[in-house]
Amino acid sequence: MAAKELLGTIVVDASAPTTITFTSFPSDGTDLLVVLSARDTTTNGIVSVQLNGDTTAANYSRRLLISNGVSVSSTMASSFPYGNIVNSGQTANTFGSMQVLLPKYTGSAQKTISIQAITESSSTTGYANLVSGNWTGTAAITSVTLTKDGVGSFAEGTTASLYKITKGSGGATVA
Amino acid sequence: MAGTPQYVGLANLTLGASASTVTFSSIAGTYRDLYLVIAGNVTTSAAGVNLRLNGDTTTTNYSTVTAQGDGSTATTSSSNTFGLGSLSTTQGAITATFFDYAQTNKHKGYLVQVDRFDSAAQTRAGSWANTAAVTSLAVVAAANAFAADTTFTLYGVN
Repeated sequence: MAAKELLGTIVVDASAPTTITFTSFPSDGTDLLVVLSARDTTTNGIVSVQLNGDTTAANYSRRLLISNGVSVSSTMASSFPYGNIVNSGQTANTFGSMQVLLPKYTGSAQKTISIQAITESSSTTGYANLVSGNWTGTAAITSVTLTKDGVGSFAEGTTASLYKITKGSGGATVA
Repeated sequence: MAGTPQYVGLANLTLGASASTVTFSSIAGTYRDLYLVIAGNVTTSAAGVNLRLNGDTTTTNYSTVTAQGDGSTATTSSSNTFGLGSLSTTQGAITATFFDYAQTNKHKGYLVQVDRFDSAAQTRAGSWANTAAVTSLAVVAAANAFAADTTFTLYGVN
């Protein structure tokens, strides 16, 4: 049985949206994976993640490992997990890549938000992010929103795909 | 032309009660890579999660390079360890890809991401110094136990 199924892809046109949202997806999977190829219309370059329409920052937390080719740093906050994408000040026609893994998305515990993001664009500044995030909500995830954080919007050509990953039926032994 | 499924679900386990070790055995050598997802927590305080490939408990047969950010400081380290990462009493996740696991002409490389929003974002690159095909994979909560409802899912990747 194929365990990774494409649920849908959103391709951004020239309307410059500030959010990309996936809803109405099946609840019979194990994990969700969002794959984003994105560019910002401004120099902001940040995309944050919200679940189930919850826009209360205090319901999220994040811990980041950030490298920019010159130095590496780490930050944390009680706020939306995010990743960096290519911004309007970087090389034309380049887009950043970001993956968001939401394991056990139908479970009844708080939700882990696992992010990897890169913005390599052949320009002087690029980022590689590793983000451990959390959402305190215990409901099953029924919507996933990618938000252009602060200012700016998604540039035309940005694409976002949602995959459902489903576990197999084999077992494991426990000791 | 029919496509080949990228991920194939091989096995999964949701703990009904706490346990210290979970083992996937009799892993078929049909795929290119293995992908493991652990989602959950441990029972008492933060604990390391150790890896056992083919039952190998010799620490020096494993090596890792780690980079992590704890929210204020970014660090890197390397060591001979079978450590896969850590979990705490709050929800977290460990994902690991084992490349070319069925090949018999190379040591086995693996790439790990550890998500502990309470502690650190961490990535590890590891190597198991053995050319044998991986036929069993075990994870062990060191001096602790995986809590009930923690899930372990193994996929074959084409």
